[in-house]
Amino acid sequence: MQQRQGRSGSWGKELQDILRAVSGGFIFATPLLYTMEMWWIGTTAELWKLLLFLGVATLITFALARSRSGGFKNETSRFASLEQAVDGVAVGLVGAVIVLTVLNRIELGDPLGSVLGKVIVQAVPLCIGAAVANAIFGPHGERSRAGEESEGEGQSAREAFVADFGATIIGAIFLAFSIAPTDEVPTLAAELDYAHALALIVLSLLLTYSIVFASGFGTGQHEQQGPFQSPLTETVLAYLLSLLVALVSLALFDRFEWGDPLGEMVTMVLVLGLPAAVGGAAGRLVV
Amino acid sequence: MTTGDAGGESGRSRSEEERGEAGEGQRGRSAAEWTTLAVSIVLILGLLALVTYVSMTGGDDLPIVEARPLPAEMRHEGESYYLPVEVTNRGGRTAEEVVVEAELAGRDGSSEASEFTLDFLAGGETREGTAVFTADPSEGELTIDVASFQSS
Repeated sequence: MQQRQGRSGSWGKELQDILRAVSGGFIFATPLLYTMEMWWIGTTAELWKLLLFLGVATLITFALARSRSGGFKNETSRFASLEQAVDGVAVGLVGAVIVLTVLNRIELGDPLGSVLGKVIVQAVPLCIGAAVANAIFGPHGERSRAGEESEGEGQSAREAFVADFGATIIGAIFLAFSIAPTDEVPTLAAELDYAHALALIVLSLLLTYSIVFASGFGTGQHEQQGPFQSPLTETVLAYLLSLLVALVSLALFDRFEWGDPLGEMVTMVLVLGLPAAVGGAAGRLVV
Repeated sequence: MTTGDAGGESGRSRSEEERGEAGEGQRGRSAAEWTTLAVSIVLILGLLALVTYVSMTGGDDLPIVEARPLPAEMRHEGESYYLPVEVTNRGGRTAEEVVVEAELAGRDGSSEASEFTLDFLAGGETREGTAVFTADPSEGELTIDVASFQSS
C-alpha cells in the first residue's frame, strides 16, 4: 500500500484523498441538497447561527478523523485530523457552491447574505459526509465487501458485469426513491435552462467518476475484464443506468402524465439523475 | 474470555495508531498536502470575511417591500395581457409569502384584479412576478400594491 502510494506521487495521493472526501460528502449530503427547506433555512436563518453550525460540523469532522475508521485520510494524529477538519470544511464549501450553482439555487446578483447562508448550511452535511468517507470506502480505498477478492477471482466477465449492473441499479434506487416523490424535482426542473442542464450532466458524471474511483478503482483489486471494468466506461454506463432508474422512479411515483412536454420530462429525469448517479456509483459498496 | 478478546483487539488498534503517528512524524508532509491545507484555510478565512462584511453592511432592518410594473416588457398573448411586476425588498431581513395585488380599472367602469405570491424575497433581492389581465393595462388605471408578507 505504502509503496503504491509512493509511486503514484504525493499529488496523486492527495487528489485521491480529496476525491474520497468529495465522494463521502455527496453520498451523505445528496438528500439534503435536494430539500427545499434547506434552501429556505439558508435564506432566513441568521448567518452567525449557520456559522456556529458549521463550527460544530468542523469539531465532528476533527473527532471522526481522530478515530481509526473516520476521516478521509490514512492518518489519525492531531495535526492530520485538524488538517482533515479544515480540508473537509473547504470541500463542503466548494461542493455546496458548485451544486447550488448547477441546480440554479444561487446565481450572480443574488444578495450576498442569502447566498452565504445557503452555501454554509449545505456545506455542513457535505463536511460531515467527508468525515465518514473512510467508514464508507474503507481506509485504503479498497472495497469494503468482505471476501470480495476471493469471489472476484472466480468471476467471469459476464458475472462481474451482472454484479456491477445490479449494484448500480440498487444503489440508484436507494437514493432516487427517497427523492422521486418530492416536490423538489419539478421545482428544480422548472428553473433549469439549457446551460444548467448541461452543467448538471457534467457534474453527475464527475461525481460518478469520483465515487467509482474512491470506491476502489486503481487499487489493483478489481482486475476482471468486462464492460464495467474500466473507470471511464463504468462511469458512463453507471450514469446511463442511473438516468434509467430516475425515469422509472418518476413514472412509478406518477410524476409524469400523458402529454407532458418532453422537455419537462427530460429535465426532471436529469434533476433526479444526480442523486441516482451518486447512489448508483456508491451501489457497489452496499451490495 | 470475551473481555480478554476485546482488550486484545483495542490494544492492537492502539499500537497501530501509535505506529501511524510516529511514522507520520518522520515522513513530514508533502507539498500537495500543504497546498490543499493552504487553499482550504484561505477559503475558510474568505468565508469568515464575507460573513463579517455582510453582518456589518447588510442591516438587520425589517423588510421594506415595493412593487412596480414594467409596462415596457408587457406581452400580449391571445386574449391576455401579461404585465411583469418587479418586487424589491429594500430591507435587510427576508420577507416570506409576499402577496402582490394588481387592480386594473377600465375607463368603461369595469375592473379586474390579479394577484401573485413570491415565496421568498431576501433582503436586497429583486424578483419578478406577472399580473395577467384580459384588458390592456395601458388603457386603464393600474394600481399595484404589496398586500402582505411574513417576516421572522
